[in-house]
Amino acid sequence: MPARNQASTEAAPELDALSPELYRKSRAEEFGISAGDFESILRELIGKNLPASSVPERQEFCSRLHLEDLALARACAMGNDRAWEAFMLRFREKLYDAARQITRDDSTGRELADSVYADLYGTQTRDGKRVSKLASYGGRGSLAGWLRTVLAQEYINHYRKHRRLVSLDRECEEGAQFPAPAAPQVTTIDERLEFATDSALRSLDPEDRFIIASYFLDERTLAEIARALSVHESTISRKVEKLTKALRKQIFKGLLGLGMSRRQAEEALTTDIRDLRLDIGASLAQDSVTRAFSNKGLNPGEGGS
Amino acid sequence: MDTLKKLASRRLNSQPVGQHPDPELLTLLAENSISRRDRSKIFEHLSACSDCRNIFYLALPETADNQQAFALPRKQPRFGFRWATLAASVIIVGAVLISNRAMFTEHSVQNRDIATYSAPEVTSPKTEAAVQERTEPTPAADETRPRVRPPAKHMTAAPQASLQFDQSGEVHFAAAPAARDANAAFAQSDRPATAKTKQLDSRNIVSSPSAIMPAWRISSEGSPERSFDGGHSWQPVSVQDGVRFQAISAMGHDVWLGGNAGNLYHSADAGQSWDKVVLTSDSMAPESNIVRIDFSDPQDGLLTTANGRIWSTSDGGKNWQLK
Repeated sequence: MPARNQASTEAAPELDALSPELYRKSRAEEFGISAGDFESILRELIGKNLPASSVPERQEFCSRLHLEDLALARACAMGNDRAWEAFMLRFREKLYDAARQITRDDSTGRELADSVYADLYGTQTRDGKRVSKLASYGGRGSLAGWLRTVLAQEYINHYRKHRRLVSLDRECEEGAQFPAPAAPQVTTIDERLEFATDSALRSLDPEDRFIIASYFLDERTLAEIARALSVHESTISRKVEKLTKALRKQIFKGLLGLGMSRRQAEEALTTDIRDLRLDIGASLAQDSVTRAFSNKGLNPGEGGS
Repeated sequence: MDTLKKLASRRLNSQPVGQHPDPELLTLLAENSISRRDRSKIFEHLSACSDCRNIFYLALPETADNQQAFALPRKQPRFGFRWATLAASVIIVGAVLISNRAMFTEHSVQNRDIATYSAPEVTSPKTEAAVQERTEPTPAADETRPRVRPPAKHMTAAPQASLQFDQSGEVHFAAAPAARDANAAFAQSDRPATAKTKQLDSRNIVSSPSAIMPAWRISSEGSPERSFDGGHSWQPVSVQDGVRFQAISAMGHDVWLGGNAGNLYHSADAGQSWDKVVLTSDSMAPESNIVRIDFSDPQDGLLTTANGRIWSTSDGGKNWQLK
């Protein structure tokens, strides 16, 4: 048993009573996982996800776990042949289907699925043992869903990076052989607009900010956002409209609070955004936008229009 | 709007991203089974991290297409297609007529021959000579005549029907005296049978399942609706507040509805009352959304959840087993 699990063993004595039932439900025995090993897996998960929690919370946590998937994944990670047979039977086609759906291309999908499959099996070794990605599955979501997320993650991490390495021939074909020189940075724009926008965005609920980011920044359709949030498209449509109005109002109010006149604020909200000075790299490096702004030492009423 | 969109986009892009979430948290969010606390935390990250947003959208489970719970009326063929069909029919009929013209001509000759050669059967003394003169073939005519058909047979003892008009203005068919007795037996036996058939027909219309069984569908808001007029108008059916239904199966009086978080409801009286059905097996109850319900007959059915699990029943939904 790993050292970190020993602490959680002491922290979850109620598992002693619950563990046999969970072990039976998980069918872990079929894949060569002993009751003791399974209990240590549960303790590890509790220690990781609910380090300081009450007994009912832990019991609730355990009862909501996808126990069969968890046992299967951990048995595969341990290298149990029977578990791998069951995994292949249940998830092989799903893995390829999901990869094809993500990449929208048959050959790329197959390539992606093979790559993830290699990670799941474990191509790297640590202390003489294969390190399988399945060992990181914790049973909170379904294994099929987790595999989809891993595929999506791999696709974003790997394939997007590779797309940046465009060959010169392809670049020429795409007409980018004469890239325009970088535009000189414009520094004449009022920073209060950026500050007011950041404040307005921060005042939104995280989920609302996610909707705004998906709709404005990623240009996702209303249907896509609605599907992601399990609501109807019209709900998102109304919400986007409402959020846009609220955001504009909040920014306007913020600009007035920063010393702008109403006319100045209205003009600032119609400024061509391409004129805004944005240093994304610097913003990412900063702890918070508020501190970044306050460091600039701007006083209300300062700054151009 | 456009300025605000660009402004918000740029500022969102410059937010600090922080630590990326565990794939399991994204899975929980995609499967809509995340806790409120984690939900807020993960949306906080997603609103700032473009890559994780993309992963999240890609990781969403594939939703099943809306199930067709009732047979939609067949679409009428398009206007042009109907005219094309009519034109093709006219051409075919025309072609058949033209190709068989010779046959029709021959038939008309034969008919004339029959008329001519059946004439001697008429024994009227006044016309006998004329007929004799007319029917005696000349040698030339004999050669050109295609063939001689046997004289037509006449029916004998045919019942002479007569029409009787009464005061009510209705017309009755009266059999001839000779045939009346013979037909009486048929009439006696036929009338009750006809009446019985009519009674049966009217009873079938009242009790026909298609006449009283409503059609069902799931609205885009995820609530069940039924129609009693073949889909012209739909009435919402209240089952359970807060449940977003995605799957429906209707067979006779039995209606099954599946929704989010494994919610399953059954009505045995065509939607008048609903019972919540809890799926249990040796493993766990489904927390995932039910995306499809298929009953091949009232006893055997399958149920699919968003995470790909399939449950089956072979006793009309009393017990469900995870496949």
